[in-house]
Amino acid sequence: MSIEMRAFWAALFAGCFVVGATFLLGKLEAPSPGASKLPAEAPPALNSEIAEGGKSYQYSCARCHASDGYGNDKQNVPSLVDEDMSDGEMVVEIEYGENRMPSFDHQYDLKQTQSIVRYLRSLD
Amino acid sequence: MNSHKFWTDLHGGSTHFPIALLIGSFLFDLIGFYVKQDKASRDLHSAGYYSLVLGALGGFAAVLSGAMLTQWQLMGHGRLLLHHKFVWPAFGLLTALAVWRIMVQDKSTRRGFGVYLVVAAITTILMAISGYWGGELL
Repeated sequence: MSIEMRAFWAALFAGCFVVGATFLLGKLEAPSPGASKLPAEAPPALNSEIAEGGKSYQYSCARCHASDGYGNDKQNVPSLVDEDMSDGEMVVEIEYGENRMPSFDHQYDLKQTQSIVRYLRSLD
Repeated sequence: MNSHKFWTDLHGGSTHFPIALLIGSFLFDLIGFYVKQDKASRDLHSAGYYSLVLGALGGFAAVLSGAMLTQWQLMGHGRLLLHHKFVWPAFGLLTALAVWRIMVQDKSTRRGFGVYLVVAAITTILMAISGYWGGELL
């Protein structure tokens, strides 16, 4: 087998390996959907976080997603209650936006964004 | 500095290395492939080789920082999903190209290098589109 062919097989293996290994690591590292959902009775510190998230939600999100979080069918705005995205995905979506939804990364830091997600989880 | 800002800044900076170096590497090699003078061709291929290897190393930094930034959401939704649909094939191909070049060095045939250039062109296009969608996230 020529050096080019040997290199081809090694390259094919290396390319598949790095992508496969990244996804395997992703499976191990990513929080599973709902893994960080709050218990039925959240401790006081978390309750204050939920309250903080609720304030931010009402200020920035309720106009489109409705104050109860159930969205607006007529305007095709999705409900955020019982959302099956993971917490991490929701954080990314709030920060970077999607389709008609603007990004909020300049308005809220990570902690504030997480508190909005916790608030939405509390509505589930 | 909080860790989220650290990963955002690191990803924003490191992600330009694989994009720019891959495009540079492809152009150096393409010109080197057609240049007639031996020395110029060798020098251009040498520049292409080092750009590719450094770009591949930069790719690992970009992928790691991006994964930390998105909390290991390797696909996601919306523009993030579009970014990822192009970035993963580009990352795999970039690594494969670098391994091929490191193993073959200057012992490739003209036909073999022609095939390499076609794959490098595809990888460059995928990387550029992925970079575009990454930029749209900002």
